[in-house]
Amino acid sequence: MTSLPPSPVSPMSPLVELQNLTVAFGHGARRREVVRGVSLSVRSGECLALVGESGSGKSVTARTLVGLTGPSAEVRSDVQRFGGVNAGQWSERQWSRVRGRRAGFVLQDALSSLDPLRTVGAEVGEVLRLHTELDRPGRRRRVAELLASVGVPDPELRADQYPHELSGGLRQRALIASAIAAGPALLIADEPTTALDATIAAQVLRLLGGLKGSRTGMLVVSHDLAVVADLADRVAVMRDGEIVEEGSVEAVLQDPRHPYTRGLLAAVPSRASRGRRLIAPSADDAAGTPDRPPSGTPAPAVRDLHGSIRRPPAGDTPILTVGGLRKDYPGPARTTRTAVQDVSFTLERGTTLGIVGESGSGKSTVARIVLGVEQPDAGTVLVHGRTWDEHRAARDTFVRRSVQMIYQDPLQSFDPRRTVRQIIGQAVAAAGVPPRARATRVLELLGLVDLPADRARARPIDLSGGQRQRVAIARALAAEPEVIVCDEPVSALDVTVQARILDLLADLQERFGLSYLFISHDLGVIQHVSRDVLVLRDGVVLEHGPVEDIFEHPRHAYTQDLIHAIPALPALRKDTVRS
Amino acid sequence: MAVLRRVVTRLLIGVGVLWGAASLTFLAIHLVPGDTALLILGGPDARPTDEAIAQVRADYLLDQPFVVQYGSYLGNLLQGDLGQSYRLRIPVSEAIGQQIGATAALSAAAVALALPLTFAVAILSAQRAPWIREIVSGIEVVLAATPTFIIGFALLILFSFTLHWFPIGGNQGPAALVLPALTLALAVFGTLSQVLRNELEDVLEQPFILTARSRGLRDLAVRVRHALRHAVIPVLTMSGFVVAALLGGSVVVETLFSRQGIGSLTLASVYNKDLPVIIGIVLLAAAVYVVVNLVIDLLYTLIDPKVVTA
Repeated sequence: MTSLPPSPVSPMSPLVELQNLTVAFGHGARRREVVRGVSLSVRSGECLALVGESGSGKSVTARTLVGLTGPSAEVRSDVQRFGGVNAGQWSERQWSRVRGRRAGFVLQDALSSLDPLRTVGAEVGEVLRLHTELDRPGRRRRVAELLASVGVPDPELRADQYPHELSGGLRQRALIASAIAAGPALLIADEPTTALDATIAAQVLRLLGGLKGSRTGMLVVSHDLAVVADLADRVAVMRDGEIVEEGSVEAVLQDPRHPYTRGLLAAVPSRASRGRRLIAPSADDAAGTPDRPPSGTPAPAVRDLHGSIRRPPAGDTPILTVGGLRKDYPGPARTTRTAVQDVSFTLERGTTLGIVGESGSGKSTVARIVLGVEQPDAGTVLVHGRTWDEHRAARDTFVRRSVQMIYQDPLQSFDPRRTVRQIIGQAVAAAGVPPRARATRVLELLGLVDLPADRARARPIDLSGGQRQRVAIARALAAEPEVIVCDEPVSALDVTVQARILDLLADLQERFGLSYLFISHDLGVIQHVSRDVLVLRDGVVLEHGPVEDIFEHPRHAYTQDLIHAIPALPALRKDTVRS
Repeated sequence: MAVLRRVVTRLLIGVGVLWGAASLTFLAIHLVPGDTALLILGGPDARPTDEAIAQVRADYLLDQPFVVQYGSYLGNLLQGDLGQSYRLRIPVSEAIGQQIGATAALSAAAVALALPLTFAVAILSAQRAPWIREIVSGIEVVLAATPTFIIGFALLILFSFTLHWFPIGGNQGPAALVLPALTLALAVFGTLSQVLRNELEDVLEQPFILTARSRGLRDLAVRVRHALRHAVIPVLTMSGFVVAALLGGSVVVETLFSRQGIGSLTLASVYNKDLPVIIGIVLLAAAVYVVVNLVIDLLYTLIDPKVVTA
């Protein structure tokens, strides 16, 4: 307690300062520099945002500020100061006096960032136990005050609950309470809203904005430029371990200098981006990622996805007609919980219907019923005008295959021991392609999703997130489908990778006349891809209609909240006003 | 309330387990070749008269159909009557009662040595430099793979024959308990410590550990206060293995160190086909399993709040 480093000398000296930081992991041939030559500083009363895609080194940089890179990291810098004091050579013991007391740390997804076996109150109270002189009842009172101050209702009650008993938003608030419990001058938030629903994320961002006082400096790490636009004063854009652009929020967002920043901004799907590609062909080199096949790989030509199979006559009937769906699940103590109630829609050939809703709204239940893997308690699903049962009775297996699905996390839907060739080959075989033609067909499908042929030998674990999603799409295409149900297909992906997958889905739709049932919690994505949109809340359809109508004249207050919660980039906001 | 219901349910299941164990043992005995009446009279070497054999057959219902024998066997069990030892000519419960104290002391001492050793080694070696982990893990694998009697021999050679620190065997005094208990403890430690360290290393990668560190908690405190509680759950699940190792190990260790106890009683009973005693020991082992699992089940509830609500 006595040997604490002195407090900042003048309020103008930075709270933290780094110059020419390099962080490397591993030794010898396996040594990898994940941060190279990064310099940054955060002052009292300001918020710096560190923005970049996964693997850009932003989280490692943030952890270095409080000495949390771990024993395997090799950290070097010309200058590292904390509170005006040289911190470059601090021992673990010295760091542990600073952490919690002078620097608070908020991580993504409070469900895994709070100890699941301890009560929320014990987690917040631990900071007080370490850094204050409060006795047990005093800590209990202070925990309740802290929880109340971050907007947790019934704080005394909540303090005795476990993280899994709290909603996502309340958990994140509790995590923030534990970070600010000892009144630190620096608050570091690493992806603080990524795991949250849009409206909840907006509330948490407002809470963080309120904490940004004159005495507190803040560093926010995010993959999403839009999220930090309102919160941050300055932005540093990171790519491959380096800061490629830094400046005030206005300067970086409205007049980005670096092509990577420009590509990043253009890749954000929104209403403004409807009907155009998110990745301009020329921007590929600037924003290029390993996800892209090397140019010059000849993709086998495929003229018609449905060349080989019998098809029903293309009439006026929509491909998919869903009427009055209802699904109940048994709840605790013999109650029933209605997951979906009276959901109706139609999906026409070659169009996309977006389904928006937050977690628990019944989106995925609708998807599973449409696929026929779940039976509705009431209502009908008509594919080509007939129910699944009727198709089954008529032995129309090609209709069974005509509705396919891709998931948010394709890794879980792949057998990890199989290669890409086997994974797609199995779907090709199931589609009735004769054994001789299967190998060619797999290569064709890989070409369709822009994957180089040599990836056929890879196993799922060796693929990047974008490549995995491409394999999942190829597998769905193997069945020569007419409808693809996309359940949050891009939610786990980085902005530029997401942009490429969305572009690919748009291309495939145009080429083969596919219809998509596109489920997402991200309104930007929904506005970009959908012709019609369905807003679900608690299993009930709140709005249904063309995407322009709904977003311009939302009738329901909840839809208005949702639209309001879209973290919009200032530059893009202007576009929206203009159009 | 929920806890009480779990206990009652588990106890009912436990009764089922005991019934199953009793029936299986009974069945096994009937499948084993050999004349039970002859065994009761001391085996073929005793050359009993035909009248004696007929007398025993009638006394022990051996001339009755299988179902009648089984019914009478279960009926006796329900009254707590385990029968009489053929060899010792005393009730089985008395034979077991004479020996159980020594084995209980041995097992308790082994657990008291093994658990602190496991926890200390696993907590201190998890996520340390590769060479430390490799050495520790190597020792654990060797201990886990080495048969108990070899560990016991090694300890005997080192501490009794060479250093003369401890007696080579017997039941006299606490000093005689040290080497047998250590033998059992080392056999259990090797496996448990491997499991606990692997779990700790998984848990230490979790985000909430990073959060705990970011609050200023020191490394050892992070391990003990946060990680251990999570990592101990799979170790608890392995207590079945521990009980088996202690029961099975006591046969070897008690023989090796010429100690009294359930282990040597088991061995002697098996040699002499002393069936009532074998059945008694099997039932005792099953009862121990049932009780241990019940306790473990309640411990889960204490450790993980989700177990009851889920």
